[in-house]
Amino acid sequence: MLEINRADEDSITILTLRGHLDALNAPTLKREMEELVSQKRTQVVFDMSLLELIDSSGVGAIVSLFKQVRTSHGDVKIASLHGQPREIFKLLRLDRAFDLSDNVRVAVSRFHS
Amino acid sequence: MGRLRETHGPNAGAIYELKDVCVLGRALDCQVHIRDLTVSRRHARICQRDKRFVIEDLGSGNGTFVNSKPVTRCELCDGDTIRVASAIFAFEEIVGNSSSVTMVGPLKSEPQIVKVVDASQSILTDTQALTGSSGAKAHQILASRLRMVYAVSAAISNILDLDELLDKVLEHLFETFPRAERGFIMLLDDETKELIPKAVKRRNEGDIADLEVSRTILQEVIDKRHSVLSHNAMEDKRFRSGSSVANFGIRAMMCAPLVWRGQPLGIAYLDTAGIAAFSQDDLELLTGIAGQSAAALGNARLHEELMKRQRLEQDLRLAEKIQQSFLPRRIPQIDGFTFCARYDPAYQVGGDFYDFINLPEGRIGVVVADVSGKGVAAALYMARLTRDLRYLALAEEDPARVLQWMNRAVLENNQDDLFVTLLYLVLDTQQRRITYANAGHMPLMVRRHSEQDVVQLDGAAGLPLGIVTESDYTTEVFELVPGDSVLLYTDGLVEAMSPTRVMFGMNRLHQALAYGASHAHDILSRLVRACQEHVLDAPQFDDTTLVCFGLDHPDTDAISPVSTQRTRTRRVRILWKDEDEP
Repeated sequence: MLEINRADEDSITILTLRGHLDALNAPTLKREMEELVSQKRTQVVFDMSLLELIDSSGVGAIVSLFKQVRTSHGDVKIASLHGQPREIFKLLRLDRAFDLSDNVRVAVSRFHS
Repeated sequence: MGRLRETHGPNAGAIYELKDVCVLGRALDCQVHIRDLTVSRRHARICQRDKRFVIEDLGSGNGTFVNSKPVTRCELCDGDTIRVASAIFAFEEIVGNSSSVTMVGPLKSEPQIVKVVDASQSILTDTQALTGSSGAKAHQILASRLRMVYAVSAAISNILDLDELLDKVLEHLFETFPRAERGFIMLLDDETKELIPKAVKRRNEGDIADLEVSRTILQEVIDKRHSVLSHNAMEDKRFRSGSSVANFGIRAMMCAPLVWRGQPLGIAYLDTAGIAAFSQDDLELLTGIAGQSAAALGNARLHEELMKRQRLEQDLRLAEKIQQSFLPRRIPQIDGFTFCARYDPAYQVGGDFYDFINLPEGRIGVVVADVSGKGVAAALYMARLTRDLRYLALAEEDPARVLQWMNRAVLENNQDDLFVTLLYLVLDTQQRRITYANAGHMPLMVRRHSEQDVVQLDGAAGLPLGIVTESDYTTEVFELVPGDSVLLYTDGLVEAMSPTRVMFGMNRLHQALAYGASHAHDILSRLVRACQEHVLDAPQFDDTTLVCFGLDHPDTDAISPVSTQRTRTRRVRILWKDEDEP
């Protein structure tokens, strides 16, 4: 199961993911992200504090948003990554592509700096 | 289908049907021609893609606005307002085949339901249902109903195409009910459980007004699974605007659920002018026909699913063939070296791949990679990558530069959710060394000749391919000594799950490498065994690929004396051996 919670703070959108982000649930997230892209919201923070598991389709969905917002000078920042998802990000060296923060507030503030 | 209705502007009142591409502008050849000097010659464009309409501003001087917001590109929704200078358009999406059916309500004065028939009662056998009739008269009605229902049933039961079937059902309803003026069929969407109009029919072709129907009534038909006969159920925009006073007045409607195996699939709806246009008999007959239609619909759906599955299986078989044609059928055979590989897709086709590339001067390119995603798309993409890599490996000696090229190739593919982890190394059989570069892939492992001597090569690590253009990769070198075996693998091995959901993990990988003989064949079979013992009968989730090669050690391997081997390696002959040969 995947729960997605979206909160907009000025130009920044915070997506909180809860549960599992895998091949089964990735399409749900992709629909949410399509909406973000169509609304031209290109500054996105993923709050991963409640995310328990991610697989390559899930990473693919986040990478897809990352690629799309970067073309319009936006960014995707990742907050509170832990457990298995953190291992996957490290394994794929994605910690080098994404700006990782310990919590959402820090991630949001990095858009302002 | 979609259309633009010009609500304000030089051509106010005009309606433009939207084709695949439609340009709005001042130029005469524009499909939507706007006589206004502040409009650019080619101002904006509306394109249809996958049944969706997208408007793009073509760099106009004064901009394009959707719902009062300036847009460069924007997907249109039913009811959106588009403004181009002085002209304002309402975008209307037309679902169904002629014009839209809109559900409205709850209304202030909901239509009055005058008669109800329970759809679960068979009107064909249950004479009790024939209210107000008895004896011979009842049988006569029953027989005539049976004939009509049978005629419809016979005509539609063999139609397997959904659209054709729905059109046919409406056609028969119009024949059966000569007074019906308009009719439509709505089906419940599997996911959203919302009623979607699928087929609309009007007796009078000039009748192009939108149909509006009470949501409350339709929901009641679906929820209670009974048919209803009602008056004034439908409101017509034309009547409200008073443009057709002649028809103003009460309309009668009938609506029956399409129930199949106890589940509602949708509704069939008929309406006409006049208060006593339909009778209780009509309602019962409609209920019967709706039941037969639902059965045909259920069959058509099953058929469609079956076809889809068959197509999918065909796709899979094709992709499997394509993929296998790209995996190396032969593994290299070089004096003094041993190569082996094992590929185990989780599904019929997978996103893993490995390859051996024969390079000049006794060098061999070895690659193991994992394409994100699974199934046919990943496999087809993998096949393409293999080809690109074979070409690049010949053109470029340095593994890091090969990865830089590959990264660009993956990015050019423009598939946003696609990325690839890939480890590429070049084995120089003369210099006895490997040079390698890693794009987000599992680290290389080397088992030295003596037990417990395992080296993990974490260096040269970069981002997976296809994430950012500016990815940097580095090349590292590792010198081989006799007895060294190098292992390349994909995360399918490390993440293999036991029945109790425990991952195989790096520790078990280290253990299997550390203990036992260091020969490549031994290592590979130990790993496969360890993984099988760990996974037991748990389902395999991800592809697993293992490639192992080693520089043979004189103590453990029956190879030619060192002196002869040296002379040989100076002019290396690379032979290729079929994998299935002993």
